[in-house]
Amino acid sequence: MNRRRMSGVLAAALAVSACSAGPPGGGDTTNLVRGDANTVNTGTAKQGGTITYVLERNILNWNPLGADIGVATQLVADVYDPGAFVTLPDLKTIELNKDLLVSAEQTSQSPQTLVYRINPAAVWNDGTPITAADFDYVRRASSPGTCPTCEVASTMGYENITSLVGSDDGRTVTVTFSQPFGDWKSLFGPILPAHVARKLGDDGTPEGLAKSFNEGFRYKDSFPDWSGGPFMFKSWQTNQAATLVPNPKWWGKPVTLDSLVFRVVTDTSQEVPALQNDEVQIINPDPQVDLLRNVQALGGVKYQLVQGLRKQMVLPNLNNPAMQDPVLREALFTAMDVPQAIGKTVGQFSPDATPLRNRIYVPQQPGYKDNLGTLGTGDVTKATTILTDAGYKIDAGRLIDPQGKPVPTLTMRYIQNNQILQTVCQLFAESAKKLGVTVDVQTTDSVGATVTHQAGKDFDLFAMGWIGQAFVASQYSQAFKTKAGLNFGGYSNPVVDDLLSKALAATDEAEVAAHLNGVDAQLTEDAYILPLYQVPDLLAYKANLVNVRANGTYYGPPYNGGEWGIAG
Amino acid sequence: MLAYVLRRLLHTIPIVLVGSFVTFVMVSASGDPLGDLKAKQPPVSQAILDAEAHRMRLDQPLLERYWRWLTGILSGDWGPSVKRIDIGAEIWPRLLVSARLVTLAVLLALVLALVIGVVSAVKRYSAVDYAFTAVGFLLLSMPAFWLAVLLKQQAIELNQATGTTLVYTVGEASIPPPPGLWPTVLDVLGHVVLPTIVLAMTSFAPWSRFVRSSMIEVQQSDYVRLARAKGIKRRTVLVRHALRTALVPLTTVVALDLAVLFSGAVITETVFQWRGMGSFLLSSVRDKDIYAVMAWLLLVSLIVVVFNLIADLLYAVLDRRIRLG
Repeated sequence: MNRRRMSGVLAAALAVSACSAGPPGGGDTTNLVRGDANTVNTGTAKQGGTITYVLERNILNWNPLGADIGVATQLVADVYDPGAFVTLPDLKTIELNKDLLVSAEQTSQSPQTLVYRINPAAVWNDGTPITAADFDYVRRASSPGTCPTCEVASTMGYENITSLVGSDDGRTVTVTFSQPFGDWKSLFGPILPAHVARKLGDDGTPEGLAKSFNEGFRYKDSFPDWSGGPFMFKSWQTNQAATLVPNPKWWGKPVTLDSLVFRVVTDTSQEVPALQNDEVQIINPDPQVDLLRNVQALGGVKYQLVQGLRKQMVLPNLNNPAMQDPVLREALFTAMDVPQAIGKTVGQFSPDATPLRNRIYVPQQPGYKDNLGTLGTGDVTKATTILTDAGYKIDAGRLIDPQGKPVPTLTMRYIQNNQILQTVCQLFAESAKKLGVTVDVQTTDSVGATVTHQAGKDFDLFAMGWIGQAFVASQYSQAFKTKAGLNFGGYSNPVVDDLLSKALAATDEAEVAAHLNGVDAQLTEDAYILPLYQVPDLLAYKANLVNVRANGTYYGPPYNGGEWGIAG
Repeated sequence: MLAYVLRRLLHTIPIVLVGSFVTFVMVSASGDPLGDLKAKQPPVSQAILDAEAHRMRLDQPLLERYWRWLTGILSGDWGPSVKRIDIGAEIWPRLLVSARLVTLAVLLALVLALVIGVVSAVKRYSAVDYAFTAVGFLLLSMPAFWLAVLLKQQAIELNQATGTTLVYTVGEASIPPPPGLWPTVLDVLGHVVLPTIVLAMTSFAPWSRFVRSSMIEVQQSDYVRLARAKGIKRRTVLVRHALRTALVPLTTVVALDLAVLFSGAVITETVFQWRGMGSFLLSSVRDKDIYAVMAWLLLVSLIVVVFNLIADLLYAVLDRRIRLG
């Protein structure tokens, strides 16, 4: 290497260092695209072209209803596997999939009866009509009564179905429930082709059904050769990319792209250079200050930064004696200054970030209401009063409980390499110190292994992420009901159990929100979980792309992948 | 020679067995392979968790699991994967990917190391020697990921300056590939050039220092001075006598480095998104995929054994005074 080249490299090194150490704040927002979440970046696309979208994980199970799938499976399924409803980017609109269905209505409350009318033009890519049989396949696979060994992500709602009847040549589907299920719009999203299932082993027996669902639709060494969406598979190279081309039998709005590629890039820091080098055209990484600065510095790139359904929170572990006193929890959560935490974390790159004051709803959803009281305010005086009123005292900087014993050191964990949650934990420890409580901050390499560990659950507090859904009653009944699957903190309160049951059965949205806000208020009273903020969702893309928009729901940006195109 | 090879291989069997048991115990204790499944939103049923625990043999005692794994290996069964991949079918192509990446880089690094090492030794304490020494130490002290990032930025600027994508920053090839044979060949070359340079630069620097010091030592030896005194040409003495002997210590270093590189140039594969052995290890560790990690460890230990054996055999070729038997 001669002197000239070496000096070039050193100059580049200094430039890179400078890029990655930008000051906090909003940065250059020239390329930030704002607008109505559901219509932003709408435009007319010209015919042709290829768009490559980054997947951050490899796909090992292609069954979008499977128990062990990751987000990547759903992102690709968005463009080839239709569902009854889709949650739009505004986080509150649950819209009927008008390509698949003409209508979906609840025609009776007792017994609850739903009628789905399938679009007469809807066919799978081999020409087979989409019918009630496809809905019934999903019902049979998702109900423990008909398939006890199907490895399905969720049985909620399906287990209440007493009958599913097809009529009008299968184009009308009538579903009847044994007990009301308020989140019925979460059902059949997506459906699976029954005629393909038969080829994959579904012979009408529970064993055959399980074989087709668990193994067949997994496509372990291949990829789905069927489609009921705008795109269909052309190829899949594991760990590399899925290539999809327009589905010739697609009956909806015509696709303009020649192909859509989902490319696996597992290291977030490599996404921006790949976008800059035009090897990929859309990235959707977890935003961080340096990453956003690098995106902002790119020419020919636009980005959207929105609030999504993902949130972060502090979970107390009520299985451990140290956290069983609600007074101590209330004091710790009151002393925690959430606005300050936001200012030192997500607020550095997301000016819209605000404290989340509800455990169930986000501000974009109509049910949102501030139920937190003084929790998260950073009011140390109030927190101290809560403790002293309950008989605690601070002696020589150490908190002594009403029985005269020092409060033990609390272990607080976060997932390793997450700098944002690390900062949250450090701030939490600082605020606890003011109350005389020592918090030992430690990492874990697996959230799941930590929160579900049977032998003791080795944490007192956990700063963790939570992926919210639009179907709140279903999701949070799993999080807060006694001994429910996602009740990681071991919380139990019969009042909350009752309210959750009522919310699950309610079919009126206002009634659901009333019950769930009752749950949230009770959780505040019990000082269980401190919500922090929504995690911003960053979408960066080449400036010539149209109809590409951020979607901070489970569906992700490809929810409208069939409309993506290159500006004409 | 054959008897020596067989004896060496036989000696490795107990070492690999003991090592595999120790690592199996450690890997098994490193976390719950079903942790992520247990934390799924919405939660999966207990029946599914039980079935998964059975499939992953977690309901069996540790010793039994180890024995099943060990005996399974002999029949080509690498054990169940958390991700339900066929570990055997996954790991061999990845070894080839790493081999493709490493082979080119090692060849380039060896040529550079020999040329620069010999020139530095012959012209020691000259301006050329000082320059090569400076470059060598600069590369030695430069972390691979940093060099990779620098090269990426330079490549992107080159592409932007020329208005065409000559060099790529992620993957082994474009997807979909460009139409035609030559565009495809150029595309593959455009993907391989940066990771090859990174690996070659980080490997050649220490190797060139070894060549230099060995050459200096050998040049001062009696037999080299005798060869010169006998009137043999300087170039012949250097290449046939001095360099040949100087290559012996380099052989050891390269053999050990090769084993490490074949086991996965983890950083280079991560930065350039190549799906080789390094990324296989990273993803397996992240997913607590016990048997996948064990497969990697076993394969790597065998690679180390094989390359050490090759190094020993090469000693005999390079230095006739060494006899194996």
